Amino acid sequence: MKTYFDIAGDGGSQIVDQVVDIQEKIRHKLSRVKHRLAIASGKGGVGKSTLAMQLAAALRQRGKTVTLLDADLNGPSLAHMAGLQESLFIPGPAGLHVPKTKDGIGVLSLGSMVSEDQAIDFESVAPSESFTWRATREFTTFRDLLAGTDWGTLDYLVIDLPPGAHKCYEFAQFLGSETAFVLVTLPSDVSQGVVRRSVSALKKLKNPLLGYVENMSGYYCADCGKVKPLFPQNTRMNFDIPLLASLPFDPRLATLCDQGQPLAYLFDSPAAQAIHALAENIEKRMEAQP
Amino acid sequence: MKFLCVECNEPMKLIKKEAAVVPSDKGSLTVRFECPSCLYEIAMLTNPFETQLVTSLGVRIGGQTVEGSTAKLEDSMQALSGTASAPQVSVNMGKCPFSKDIQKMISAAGDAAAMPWTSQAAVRMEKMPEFVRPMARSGIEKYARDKGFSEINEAVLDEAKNVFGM
Ligand SMILES: Nc1ncnc2c1ncn2[C@@H]1O[C@H](COP(=O)(O)OP(=O)(O)O)[C@@H](O)[C@H]1O
Ligand SMILES: [Mg+2]
Ligand SMILES: [Zn+2]
Repeated sequence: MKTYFDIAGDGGSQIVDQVVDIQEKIRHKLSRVKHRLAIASGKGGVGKSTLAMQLAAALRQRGKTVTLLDADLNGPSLAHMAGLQESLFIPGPAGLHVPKTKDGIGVLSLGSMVSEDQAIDFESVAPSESFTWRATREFTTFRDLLAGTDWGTLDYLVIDLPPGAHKCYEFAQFLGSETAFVLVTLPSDVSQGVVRRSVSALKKLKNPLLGYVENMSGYYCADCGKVKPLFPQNTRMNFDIPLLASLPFDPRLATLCDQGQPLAYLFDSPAAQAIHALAENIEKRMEAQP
Repeated sequence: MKFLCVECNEPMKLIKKEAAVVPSDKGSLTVRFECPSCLYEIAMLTNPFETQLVTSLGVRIGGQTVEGSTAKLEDSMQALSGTASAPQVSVNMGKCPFSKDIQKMISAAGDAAAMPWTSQAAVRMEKMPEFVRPMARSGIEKYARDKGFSEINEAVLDEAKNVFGM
């Protein structure tokens, strides 16, 4: 009697073929994107989205073409930070057209589509078991988004990832080994501990790990112009990867983000300087990648 | 998964003559196969978990959508091949993980008369991620109505594209 592998194909459902097809489509759609950069952290609320947004703005100011992809499907925040909540998704000749800020930064975020008073729900035909399928469904959704969007010609696609050390690993596999990673941490021991875990998870893969950013590494006081400590003066853990920049806490940066104003470089401050240093550093390291 | 006709030692094939995949409203799926040599027929009956496994992958079984009706499939085939009888075709709304929210939003927006889409505009829609389509459609139709357009064509889409984020 024949066994599974004696029979060609996968039984008529062509599931494998279809998955391969869509991967091929994604490769084609991203073929004119020079650099893929994921902003990640094991932790939430450490400033991944803020940094992704500001980094994109700084790269744009350096003359690069940049699109931001919000991969946090549960808590999309880039639409808000970029001031694009009211945007429409329009089909262009080659797929979804990416909305742009007035500075020309492309921003693709489900926050432009599902308003903030609504939860993002993944329907399930197995009653009350939606959590079982949610992860698969999320990656499927994300994959459809990559395949159905016209990314055009870009210097940088900056991907803002959801929190979780294991999520970093899953996304690294999903996005492919060409995607470079930057990790974000706070100076606290707890945050550094979580990020360390992400580093060791990512080290198992081939993805370039450019380094990490220490966010809220101090408090910038506009009155006296000095950066004061915000967290207890902990020792920096050794992550074995370069420190790319330290960004102080600056209330004006938080305000700009809330107002959907992506231009942190409008004001001259230690935070803005740190973001520019980061952009320069990343550009140098990305160009050095094979 | 494959099915073998033990008698003939032949793999069974999805039946061709009628709908091979029939979804039920309880989340089960009936998928019919036949042996190409002795024409013996069997049906695979999935439980909701098995159906969910397939739908979570976002693929079609044997080229048919699992959730969508065949009518929708025909619409999109017509739109793609340009063989629609009228110049306007309906847009394949697809399966959508946010369908509940979107259904709510569409009805809240008072989606009175659906706007006709030219087949070229509908083809563009087909190239977008499926889960984005329902939201995009209602937004675009609202935009077109506000602007006094009577149909959605590529020119309307390009105009909307320029208005909303360059
Ligand atoms: N350096 C900073 N200075 C001021 N506010 C910041 C800074 N970094 C982050 N924030 C604020 O902290 C909050 C969380 O940041 P966010 O980027 O959303 O984190 P994550 O994406 O990691 O969850 C936001 O309200 C943001 O404006
Ligand atoms: Mg975030
Ligand atoms: Zn037989």
